[in-house]
Amino acid sequence: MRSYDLALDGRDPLWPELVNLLQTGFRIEVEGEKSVRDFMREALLFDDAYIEGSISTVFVDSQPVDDLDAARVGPGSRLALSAAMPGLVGAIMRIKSPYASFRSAISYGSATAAGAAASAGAAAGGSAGRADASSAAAGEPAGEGAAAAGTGEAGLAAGRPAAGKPAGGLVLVKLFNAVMAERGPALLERGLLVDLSELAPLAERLGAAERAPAELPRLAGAAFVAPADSASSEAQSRQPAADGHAPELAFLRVRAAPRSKNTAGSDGEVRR
Amino acid sequence: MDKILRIDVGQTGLPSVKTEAVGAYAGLGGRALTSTIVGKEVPPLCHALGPENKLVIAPGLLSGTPAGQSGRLSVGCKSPLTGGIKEANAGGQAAQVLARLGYAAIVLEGAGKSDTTYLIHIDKNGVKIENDQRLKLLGNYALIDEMKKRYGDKVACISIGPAGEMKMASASIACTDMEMHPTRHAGRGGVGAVMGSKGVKVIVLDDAGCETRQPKESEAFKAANKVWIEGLKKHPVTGGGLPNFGTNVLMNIINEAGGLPTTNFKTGQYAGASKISGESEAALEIKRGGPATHGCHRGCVIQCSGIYNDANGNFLTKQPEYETVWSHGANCNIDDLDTIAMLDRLDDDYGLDTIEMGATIGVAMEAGLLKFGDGAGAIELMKEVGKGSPLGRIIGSGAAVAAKAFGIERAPVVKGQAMPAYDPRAIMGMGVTYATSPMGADHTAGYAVTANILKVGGYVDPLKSEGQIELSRNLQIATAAIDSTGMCLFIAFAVLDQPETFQALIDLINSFHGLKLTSDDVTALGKSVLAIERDFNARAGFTKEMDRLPLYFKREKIPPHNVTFQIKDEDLDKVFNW
Repeated sequence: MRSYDLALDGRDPLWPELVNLLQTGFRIEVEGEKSVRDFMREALLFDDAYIEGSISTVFVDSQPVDDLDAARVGPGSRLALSAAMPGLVGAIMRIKSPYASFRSAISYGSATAAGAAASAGAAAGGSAGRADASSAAAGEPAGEGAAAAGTGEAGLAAGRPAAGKPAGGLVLVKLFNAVMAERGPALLERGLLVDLSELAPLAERLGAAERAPAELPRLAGAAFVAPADSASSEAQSRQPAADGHAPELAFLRVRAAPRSKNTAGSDGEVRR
Repeated sequence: MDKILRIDVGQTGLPSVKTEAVGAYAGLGGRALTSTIVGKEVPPLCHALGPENKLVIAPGLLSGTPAGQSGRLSVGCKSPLTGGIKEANAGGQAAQVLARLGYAAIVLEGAGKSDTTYLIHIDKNGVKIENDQRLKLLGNYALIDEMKKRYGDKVACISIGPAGEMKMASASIACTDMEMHPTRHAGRGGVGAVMGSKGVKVIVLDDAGCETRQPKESEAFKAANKVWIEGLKKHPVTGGGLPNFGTNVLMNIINEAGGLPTTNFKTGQYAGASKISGESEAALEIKRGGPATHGCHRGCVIQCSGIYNDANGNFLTKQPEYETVWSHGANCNIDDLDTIAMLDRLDDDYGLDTIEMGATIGVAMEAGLLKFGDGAGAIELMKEVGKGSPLGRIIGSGAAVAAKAFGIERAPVVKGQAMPAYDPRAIMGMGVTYATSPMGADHTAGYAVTANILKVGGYVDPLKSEGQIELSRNLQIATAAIDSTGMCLFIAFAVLDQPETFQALIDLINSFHGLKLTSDDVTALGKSVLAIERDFNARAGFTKEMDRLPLYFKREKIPPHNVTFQIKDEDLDKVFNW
């Protein structure tokens, strides 16, 4: 797995570009399933006031969530977090929206949504409601939608472990709009697993910050474990994602640095 | 705003001009006024481009006042796209200026003559009209540049581009923004074609020497406006999400929900969504020196717009809105913001509805005229519309006509009008509104999320799934009422969450006009507007069978949720039972 460790001052124009990556998604290791609320507390380190005051729209596997304690995420899940959104549909998608009935067919826990998830999982090669990691990792289509159009994101639930058999794995997390802007920098500072392909447009600027796998730091906090050796890093870098793809992952950490001249440090870090 | 300006283009020589008191239309503004005039004065069975149709342009009840967000302009007529009644509205400067000139409405009527390109200039001294052939077939940008040379940059313009002059059913009417760019459009339903049928190219509004409209109860108005603006600024959507990222902040959300129509409504998610999201768009605008937070008219508090510069830092277009980025982007599989911005620029220049154009290009892609994802091809196709070539005229006639011409069943339309950026299978409640709105498939028809505050028809339990019919009804009523105030619909979010902000809106109307309206009165206004519009459509030959989505939405599942539209026809028929 490739690793990038940067130190940027607060005004560096690279910051917003890196923060913007978080709308595409990053991955966090999780042991077993937990509620969305607990995941936000423990893995993302969001405090309760932020969760209640700023997280207004939540999707688990593309299903809008109304109850943060009932909705659960685990290995293979896809979680998206947003502030309150405009438009009638923005209001419809909010947690406990007065207009929730408008999207009742796709809400988390609805019979239709659950059926769709099961069907997508089965299509990916798993038993009902799940797809095993090997089929997803092998690049099999994750749902009839993706297969049919070739342009849509993959179907639901692919790559999710069997219900009742919690195991370690990765959750794909997407942060949108204000949540991305407000919490992105702190998460980048702790370090994230991102799809390597997403870093391609920034390759020239990130080159000087690339570290060899042996130099990877092991982060504090149980939820964030960067791979420390090449064997585990290779395995983890190919973990199937919720979208059924098995992208090559990279570890990215961005630390705030005091303002200095735009130079590459001798330790391989980029300081600006 | 106590007079109506009637311009009869059918007179010998130049059009006749008549100013009359508002009379029976007193107390109405915006959509309430346009729909009432059209309902009373336009024969429903007339041809939309014929002499019996009228184009009504009306500011809202609070336009031209210091009330924040009061700059919407309503345009009404019989629609050449749907064959029914139409109200389309736009931001920009025109509503404020027209209201300060004292006009409740401009009505263009009579039989348009061939080869007229009327320029109508209105100021405090009156109305001047000339037939200026030099303006013929100019794009909106070149036209407005010429108006700036002649009248300066303090005027507001209402104009059509070549699409309107060629009477295309997707033609829009442009209003200039604060920088005098023709970027704010009454887009839907082909209203620009009706203006073109009257031979009118541009209306120049100059309010120099005119006073701001004064409220009847000055202190009460000031107090209400203070609460109103505070309410808009403190709300996380109107005070944060919209100004920071624009309306396109919805892209990631709707995509995540699986309700983003992609590949001509074949799937509900687009792999390139994050490349064209509001977050990416705002970052690019800032990088290129264009503000990502900007208003479309003076007095805008929310500032949901921005300036989109090209790679060299030169102005290209205003910040393309969510519906535009969706229609030209996800729906056509185009994930390049510069291509989408260029398509938006062309839409504005030719005077076209961005929703209808994106949907139509999607149909053309499905028909094999070009491949999905072909941005350069989409731009070339748009240029055919601007030229008025035979192919361009088919595209400019909208998605329904293009689908017929190319032998495609999958035209995402209701009553001939293309659906906006929310798939009605994943978000079924939107489908109820698309199906039943008198306007055709229209997201703003049920946009005003005030329904449960107004408690129209009783409170709807949000936890029950069977409330979609009632909610759609309530939303359409509330929207019709807000469209009549001249208020931007984005106020609805602050009003939804903050009852004191909703009360401030009623207080603004009451203190300005010396009225004692209650929320019940506002509800009654919304109902009456819808009743007028439904009655017009019924007399135009519309039946309940036209309040339906195309059948393939019941047959074809939309991934990733793999759902179809499941609302029963008999339930759709209950929407207007009140």
